[in-house]
Amino acid sequence: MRLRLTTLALLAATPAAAGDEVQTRVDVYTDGAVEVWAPSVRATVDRARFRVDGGWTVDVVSGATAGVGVDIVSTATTFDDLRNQADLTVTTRPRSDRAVRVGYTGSVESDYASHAPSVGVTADALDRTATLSAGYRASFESAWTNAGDPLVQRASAHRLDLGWSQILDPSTVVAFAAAGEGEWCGEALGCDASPWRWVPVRWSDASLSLRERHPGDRASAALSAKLSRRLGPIGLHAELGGSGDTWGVWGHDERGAVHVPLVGERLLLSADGRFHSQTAATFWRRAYSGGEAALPGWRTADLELAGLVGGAAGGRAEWSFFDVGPLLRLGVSGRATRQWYAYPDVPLRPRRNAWVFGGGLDAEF
Amino acid sequence: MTLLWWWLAACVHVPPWQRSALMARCMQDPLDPGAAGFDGHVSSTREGTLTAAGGGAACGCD
Repeated sequence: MRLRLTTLALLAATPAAAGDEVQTRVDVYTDGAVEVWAPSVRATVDRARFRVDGGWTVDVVSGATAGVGVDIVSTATTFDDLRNQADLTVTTRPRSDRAVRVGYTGSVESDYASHAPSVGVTADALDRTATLSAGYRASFESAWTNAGDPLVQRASAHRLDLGWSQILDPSTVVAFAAAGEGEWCGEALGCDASPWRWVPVRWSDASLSLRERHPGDRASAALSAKLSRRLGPIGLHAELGGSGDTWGVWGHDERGAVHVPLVGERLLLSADGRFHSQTAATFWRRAYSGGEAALPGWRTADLELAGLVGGAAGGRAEWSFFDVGPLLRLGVSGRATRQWYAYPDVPLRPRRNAWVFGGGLDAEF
Repeated sequence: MTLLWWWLAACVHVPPWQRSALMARCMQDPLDPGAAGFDGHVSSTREGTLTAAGGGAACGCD
């Protein structure tokens, strides 16, 4: 009800102008052990000289069991939790071929908070066949437990993005992107470590449970290239990406999508697939044991640092109603995606299969 | 990079009236940024690695 009222208020408050948009949607993730419901609302006001874009998302997380031992939605998430995230971006266009944007994203849950300001610029070049972009984003995170534990894990990250999209011919666009990020997290737990996770360690003749502890900094870099081509009425998209970091995790990513308009472009059917693979962190072990004099300094129970392969395949349908009252377009959409992850180096070779469902309502003015 | 830029400047001529095919909705990807954001949140939790996604397929037609 609250979401519906918010949507109606945004619809009523948005004056009719080309480019204005209000979107509401709900996404659901379920893998048998964990379920996430994520309703969201987003509004955009677009004028010649500026654009304002804001959104609000709620993640309602519930877990059937607490024995999985790894986190699901963030590195500091318990089962049965609520995450609120809000973002606002203001873009100004001092010239028709230049844009400057300033944004902020904040996220809060019972054991985690994040604040992330960002800035970015874009510029068109080469007779507006090329668009160059650069962006910077800082994030400041805190994670803690609620069990009277005084430990609070703080982290900051700084990310730089560069992008170049280029029209090659009347039906082809290519886009290249590069990103670099540095994280600093202190030595208490280290980067991306969870205060909820404990690692079994064999030391001498004893079995201990020690808190997860990662290196206190992490530097990462990533590249991607994307090709989009129009073949008749159909849009084809293919993307390749790769990444590496100072923890020795190397990953690559392949993604493809096809969008097919039908019934005079009222119906839009889409199919997409993705494959991902990454290596294990250098300090990940199948089992940890202490030496004669010391316990292992870095240890993790995080499956994402064990090396993995994963993929996803899904479909989406969208029906658009054009010129409905004051609306230029009213779109109703639904989607379903099957995800899978396998961890071939982990004992018992666990797998995690999940469904993602979503539905949305988009109103363009 | 400089040579590529020079080649593009010399050889790529797509006037605005020939870009209508690039403005079609089927050329937007991802089609639904909200769904892509949710999927990105899930995959970043599962994978934890950096992705470079700053280069959208712009059509230069704003």
